[in-house]
Amino acid sequence: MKLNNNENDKIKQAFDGYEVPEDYFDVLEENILNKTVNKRNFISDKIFTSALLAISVIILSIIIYINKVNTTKVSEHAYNNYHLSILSNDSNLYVIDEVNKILYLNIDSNETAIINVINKLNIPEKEKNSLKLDYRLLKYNLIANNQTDIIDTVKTNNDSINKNVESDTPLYMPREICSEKPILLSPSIPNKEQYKFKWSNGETSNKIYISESGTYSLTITPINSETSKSLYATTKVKILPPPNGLSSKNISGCVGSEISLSVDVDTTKYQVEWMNVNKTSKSINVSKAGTYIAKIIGCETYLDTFIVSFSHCDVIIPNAITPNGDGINDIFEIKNIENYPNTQLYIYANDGKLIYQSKNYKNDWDASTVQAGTYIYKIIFPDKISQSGTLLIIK
Amino acid sequence: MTDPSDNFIISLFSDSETKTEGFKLLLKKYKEKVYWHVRRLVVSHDDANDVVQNTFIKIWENLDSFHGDSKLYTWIYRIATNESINFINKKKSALFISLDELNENFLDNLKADSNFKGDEIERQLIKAINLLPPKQRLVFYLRYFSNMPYKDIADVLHTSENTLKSSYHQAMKKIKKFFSSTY
Repeated sequence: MKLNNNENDKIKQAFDGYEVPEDYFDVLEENILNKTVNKRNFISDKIFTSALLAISVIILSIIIYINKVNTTKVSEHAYNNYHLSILSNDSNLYVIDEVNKILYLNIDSNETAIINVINKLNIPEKEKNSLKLDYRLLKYNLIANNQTDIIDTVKTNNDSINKNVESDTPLYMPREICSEKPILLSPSIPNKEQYKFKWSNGETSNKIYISESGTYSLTITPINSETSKSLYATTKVKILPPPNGLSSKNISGCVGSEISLSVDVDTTKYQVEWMNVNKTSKSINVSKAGTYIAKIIGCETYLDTFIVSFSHCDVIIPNAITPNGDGINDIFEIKNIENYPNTQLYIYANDGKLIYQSKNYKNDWDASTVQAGTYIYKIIFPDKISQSGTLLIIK
Repeated sequence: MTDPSDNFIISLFSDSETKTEGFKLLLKKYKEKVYWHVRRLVVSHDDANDVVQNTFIKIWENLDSFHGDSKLYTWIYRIATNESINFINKKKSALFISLDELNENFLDNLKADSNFKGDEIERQLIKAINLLPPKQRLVFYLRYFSNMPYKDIADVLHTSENTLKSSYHQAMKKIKKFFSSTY
C-alpha cells in the first residue's frame, strides 16, 4: 500500500510546519559539546592538576630513611589497589609492594632484567610503562650523580677519589620535563637544610619557579663539612602551552586541483603528524574529498581537522533569471554543463516542494510554470559531486 | 560537503586520542537527523531539545560499549527512540491522564508551540499520525521520513522484519483512511 503524490505532499507540508529557532543546530551542538567532550576535558584537567600535585608531593616529600637498612624512599606509586615504593641506597634500587615484599632491582642489571621484574608486577600496562620510565630516570640520576661526585672531588681534593664510596647522598631531579604551564622544580635530597643550593641561573633557593624552556642545572654543597663533595644534576625543561586555533574547518576546492592544508603552529616547537597520510610536514596537498586530521604533538597531543570537498569550478550557475522572452537570462542556463552529461537538476520551492527535476539537464528549463520568487537548486554531477544554492526568479 | 563515513568515525573511537574528534564528527553528521526523528515523536520543540541533548550525552557516555555489532546509525536511532519513549512515558505518568487526553494534550502542544507553523488541517493530520499505536507510529516515521530499510528498523526496535512490515501496512491503511475522510 502506497500513498499517492498528493497525500505525500500533504504529509510533507504538515511536518514542514515544525520549525526550529534560527541557528538552533549550532547552539545545540555547542550545548552538547559542553555537556560531553568539554565536560570531560574539565574533569581530566582536574585529574591532571591532582596528578601534578601528587607528583610535586612525591618530589617534595622529604626522603625517609628506613631504619637500619640504610635505604631511602625515593618515590611512591599508588595504582588503584596497589601501592608501590621505590627505595634506594647508594648503589641499588628496590621496589617494594604494599606487603613490603621486596623486588630487588640492581642498578647494574641490564634493561631486560629490570623490565622482566616490572612485567611481573600485578599492575595495569600503562602504569608499568610509567614505572619503567621512573625507574630508568632514577637509575640514570644515580649513575650521573656518582660520576659527578668523582669529577667534583678530583677538582677539590685528590685524596678523596678513593674515599668516594662514602658518598651516600642521593640527589634526584628528573632529566627532562615537558609542561604546558610553568613549573616548580624541587629536587629531592635528604636533609635539604644542610646544603647550599646554586642554580645555573644564579638562584640560591632550594626550589625554583620555571616559566621558560631551557636547561637548568644545580650544584649543591654541604654547609658544614668542607671535605664533603658537591653534587650536580641537570634538567632539561620544555614549557610549551597548548597550540592555538585548532578546530574543524570546512574547505572546498576545484575538481582536478590540489588544496593545500596547513596547520597554524610553530613546527620548530610542535611536532605534526597527518593521520592516514603518513606525513609530518606543516602542510600537505590533497586532491581527494574527505576528512583529514593532523596530530599536533607538544607536551600533549592535539588534533586539527579539515573537512575537504571539491566542486566543478568551470561550471557557472546563475543566481537569478528573468523569464520574460527578451532573450536575456530567460533560461536557467548553467555554463559548461555540456561537459558533464547526465547531470541531475532539482529545483525546490521555498517550502521544500520539488517543482522541477531532470536526470540529464540540458539548459532547457525556463521557469514558465512557476511564480516569481526564491527557489533552491541542487545539481548532482555524474561523479556524485553536488552543488546547491538559491535561484531568484524575476517576472 | 560530504559527511565522513560511519566507518571512519568508528575508527576514531578506538584511539583515546581521537575519540573526542570522532564524537564531534558524529554530532555534526547526526544532530539534525536525530533532532527531527525525536521532534516527530515528542512534538514540541522544547521537549525535543531536552531529549536530543540527553540522547547525545548517552551516546558519548556509552561510546566504549559500542562494539560495531550493529551499525552506528541504527545504534544512534535506538538510543534516540528509547530516550523519546522514556520521555513520553514519564510525561504520561506525571500528568495522570488517559491516552485520549494525552493526544488532546499533543494537539494543545502543537497549538501552543510557537515553533509550529501550520494550519488546522495540517494539525489534524499530525494528530491522526500521533494517534497510531506507538509501534506503528515508530515504523512509519523511521521508514517514511528516515528512509530506513526494514532490516535496520528491526535493529533499532528489536523486532522481526515481518512484524514491522505488517505494522507499516496498518499505519498506511489508517493514514489513507484519514485522507479519504478529511480531504
